[in-house]
Amino acid sequence: MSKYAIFLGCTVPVRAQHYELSARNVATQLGIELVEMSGASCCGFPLKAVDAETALLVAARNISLASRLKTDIVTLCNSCTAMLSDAQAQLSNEEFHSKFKQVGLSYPHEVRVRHFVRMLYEDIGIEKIGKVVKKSLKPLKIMPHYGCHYMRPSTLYGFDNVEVPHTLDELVNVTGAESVNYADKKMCCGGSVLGVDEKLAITMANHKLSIAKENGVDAIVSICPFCTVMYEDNQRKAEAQFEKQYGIPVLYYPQLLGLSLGLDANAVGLKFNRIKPDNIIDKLTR
Amino acid sequence: MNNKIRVLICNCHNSVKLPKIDLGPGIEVEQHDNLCNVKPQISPEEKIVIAACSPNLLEGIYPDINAEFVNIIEHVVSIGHPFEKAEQMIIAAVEKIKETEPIKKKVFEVKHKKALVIGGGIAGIEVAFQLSRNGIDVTLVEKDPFLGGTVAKLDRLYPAGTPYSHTLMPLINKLHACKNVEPLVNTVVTSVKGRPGEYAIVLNTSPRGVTECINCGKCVDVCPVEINDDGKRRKAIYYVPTHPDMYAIDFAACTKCGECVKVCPGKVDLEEKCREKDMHAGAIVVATGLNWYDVSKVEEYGYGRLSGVMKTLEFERAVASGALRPKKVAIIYCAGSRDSKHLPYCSKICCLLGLKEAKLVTDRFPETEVYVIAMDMRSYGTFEYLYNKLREKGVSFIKGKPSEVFQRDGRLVVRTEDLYTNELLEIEVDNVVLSSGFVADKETFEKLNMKLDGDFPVLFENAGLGTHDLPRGIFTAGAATFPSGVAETLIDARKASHSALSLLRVDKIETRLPQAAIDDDMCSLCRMCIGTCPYNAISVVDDKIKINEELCMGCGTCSVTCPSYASQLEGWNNKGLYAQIRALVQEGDLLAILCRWSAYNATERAAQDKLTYHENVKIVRVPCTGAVDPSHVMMALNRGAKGVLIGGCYPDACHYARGNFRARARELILRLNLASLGMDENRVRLEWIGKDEAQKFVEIVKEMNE
Amino acid sequence: MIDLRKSDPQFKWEIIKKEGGEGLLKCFGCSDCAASCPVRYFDERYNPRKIIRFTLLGMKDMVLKSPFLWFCAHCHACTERCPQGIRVAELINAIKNYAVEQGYCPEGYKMQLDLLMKMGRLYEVEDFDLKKRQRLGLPPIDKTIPDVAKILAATNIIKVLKK
Repeated sequence: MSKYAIFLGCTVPVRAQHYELSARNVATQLGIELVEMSGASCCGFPLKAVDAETALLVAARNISLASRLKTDIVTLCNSCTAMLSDAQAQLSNEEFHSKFKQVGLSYPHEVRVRHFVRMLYEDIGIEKIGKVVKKSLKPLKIMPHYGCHYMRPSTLYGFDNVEVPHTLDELVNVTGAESVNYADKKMCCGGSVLGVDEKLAITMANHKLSIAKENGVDAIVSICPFCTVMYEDNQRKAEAQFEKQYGIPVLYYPQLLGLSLGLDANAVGLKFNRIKPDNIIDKLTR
Repeated sequence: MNNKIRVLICNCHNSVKLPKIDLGPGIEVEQHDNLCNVKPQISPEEKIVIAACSPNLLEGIYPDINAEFVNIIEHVVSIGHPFEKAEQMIIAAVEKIKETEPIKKKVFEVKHKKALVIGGGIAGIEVAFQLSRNGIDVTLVEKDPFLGGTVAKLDRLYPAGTPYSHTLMPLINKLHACKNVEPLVNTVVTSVKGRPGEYAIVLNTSPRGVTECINCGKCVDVCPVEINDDGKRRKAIYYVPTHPDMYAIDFAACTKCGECVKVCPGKVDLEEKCREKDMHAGAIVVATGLNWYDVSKVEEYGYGRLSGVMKTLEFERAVASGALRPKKVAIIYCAGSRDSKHLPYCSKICCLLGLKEAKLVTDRFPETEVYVIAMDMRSYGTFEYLYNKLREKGVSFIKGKPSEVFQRDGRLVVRTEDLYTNELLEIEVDNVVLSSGFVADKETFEKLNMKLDGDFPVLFENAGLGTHDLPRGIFTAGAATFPSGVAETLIDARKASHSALSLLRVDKIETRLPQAAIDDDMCSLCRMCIGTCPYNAISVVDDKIKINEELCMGCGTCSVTCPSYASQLEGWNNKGLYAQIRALVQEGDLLAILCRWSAYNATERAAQDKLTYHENVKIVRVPCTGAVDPSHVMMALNRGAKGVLIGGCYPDACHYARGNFRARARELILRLNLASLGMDENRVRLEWIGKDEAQKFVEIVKEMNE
Repeated sequence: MIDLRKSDPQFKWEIIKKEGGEGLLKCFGCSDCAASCPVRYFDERYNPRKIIRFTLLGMKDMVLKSPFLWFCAHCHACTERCPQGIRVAELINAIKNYAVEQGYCPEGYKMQLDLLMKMGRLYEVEDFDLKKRQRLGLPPIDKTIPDVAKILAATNIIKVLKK
């Protein structure tokens, strides 16, 4: 049975429990054991703009925790993935490693950091997942939103194809739902700009929301809580700012996968999605 | 080692009074008056020590002898050092030459006054023609079924838009008239063995499929296979307009359906086999031309993924054949060039190729809108006028590097910033043309055992890489050396043919350039030498380390790198240098091991400038600081030397490209070793001393003496 | 007009020293980063190429005082495309870090820093949240992680809060 240390970050355990719940339940279904990282803190990303080195140290502390557990890490948030992956890579740099040791941290066992969804693609694989899909989500039309730090920069991850991404599309398609190919697929949600210029951030979110509307999708699938904040929590603001009507639910990928694996709405936390996915439940029960 | 050694001491026109010295039996000491003018009889087999003035002068006067030079004039007499020192220097030289084999005369017999020219493009054709009219038999091999290479595939040439045939056909016609040129199309080189003057080559000719042809064209009508040949549509059986003037089958596309056989009045053999052929040549000229970079790797531009995105060659052929008549075209420069993710260098001619395409399409279709999107415009020299002309034709030039090419509502869109206006632009076009760079023909060079110098073949004519005339048998001509346009290619081809002629017109080439050689019994095949050679002259051939005598310049770097001492440099072998240092260094001496191109000359300059230094400074001459073995340094210290100075050329000026970098690395390790042995690491110093920097040399030895 | 008399040629050397700043001098201004940037696409007042250009020209005040420096979303679209291999997002971040050192830190970041000092997390974990997790069958999480404050105290970052 594969075992990973699950890194929750700040937002997911408090504000996006449906992401965590669906991920854990999907993991159980697929025979993956997730162990807790007791003492795990913020990944450090909010500190990066203030001092990159300190942010890396905060991230590295979490790596050190997993290192003592001798277990590879899987993350749920794209920014956490970025921060922890970067810190892990920097541990091979002598200068950073000595600063790391200076704050009393140790790295006894090498640890890999991957996004939870990447782990599903690489370690379980589309074929295996396809075999355990119980209920095809056939009529559903989904817009996959990869987010930025899932594959960029390619020199850090070396995963998927940064210009023509396909892994999340494949993961959506394996559930029976149709993953829509659309322009500006690689574009950022604007999350990091929200605190700096809200109007601009909403403009960026609106861009994809309007593409979603044009394509007539049933839901946007996200793999990061921050992206979900932009497309779900701020959907009303986008509607107001641009005088549009969207009403497009935003699902986390494990929620979608969970439904196809036969989990019920509660097991994937559908009641916590702020924009009610009633249309989806309707389509699936028809 | 060999018995008699003659020591010739010069008293420099009787200006120096030298006591008589007796060096024991077997060593003949002769007194001479001016060795620079009156040359005694010396045979190349004799071992000679010449104690006179500057070796740089005397080596030129005595080029064919086996001698060790000792500069007693400028290192002893002129600076007022005691004559005992001169005696020590002479004895040391004698000890060295006892252990040194004479530098072998390398004779390259030009057994075959024949040349193999690889590549039948304009460069290869021109080389073949030039060699032929100088009486050399030439075999010209070309991998395609036709001569002409890239030019034969083009429609127009820059800057004037000359039709390709105006340049190419006269060249081919000239070649037809050459009776001693054998052009073999559909042919590649499978293997090459040998040395300059005698190469053994195996050629492989793949089937053409059409053996007798009257050019009726009936086969094309019935052929069911149509392919896109770089922008031009043709069938699997097609006409080759240059040479030979007949049809050919592209077996990569052919399905062997046999329809052509049924209608052919001549002869089509679908089962024609490959043929191998052995040949010999004295010289080989590589003229394999331009190789386009695979621009599909630049994924953001969508070549191979989005329809309508083309390479310059495809675009030109499609427009010229009438298959394409775009209303709006974007030409993107530096697609995968000057890019750390693809080709980090600039391929020089792609800016001009892009301009050519802009001119070509607007000449044909004046209403076509063209946008050239380029970071820079490298239309060097008088090609600037072409750039001017295109602006006057109304071609739009946007300065920037597009971020991507994508499809929107079935149209191709290019997104870029325009640095001239600082605005973001999105241009909707019918076609995107990618002007990409070129890569070297690694495959051919590997077959010839010539490694690349980074990205492209070593430019042998580079003045900085050694000053000797090497016997070379392999030459490059045209774009195979570096991407070049038509004019430059033809000029380069003529130069290459003259270089090849200088080998082929003589019966043999002789040289006494000291080179390194490998003792196979000592060699463990660790391959450490391969990476250190600045000329990429070392490789593994038939499971043995081989030093390419065409390329070895005799720097000595590999000898020092070799952990088993399997590689030895002629004239400067280990035993010889040990013997020299052992005999030369006395207790309290300062040993200066100096590079012959720079630091050594500084010591002679010191004498001329009347600068003095302490008499304990003993000087040993080496070809390069890269040839200084740490064990020589340790031996000197063991003999009681106060210190060892290694002096050589400045970092960007090493006569062997990077021997001095090796020296620097070794010096650091040497110093670490000294420190770990509890010795003062400052006893060993590596310094850059230019050939005129006498003052610097004097100051350094003064410091080291304190 | 840009008055280069006001420029500080040392500025670029300061940025190179910061984490992520090492690629600065390689830039040859091709604008691939700006053309790839999603923020620039929607708001031309933010332009990574211009920030880098002004940094190279030494226009320190102009760069550090600009509110647009903080618009970078750190999405790495630029890093991915740069032909000179510069990690552009990290470079912009290095300039942000330098700006913070010089006293230009947006309030939002100061608040986040404060939260991390106090709790080691960005969002407070209240009893309500713990109960909710329990009901959902999710394992409990730490309310605060004081080790984070220890790391922050060991670096220069606290000076930012005090400013």
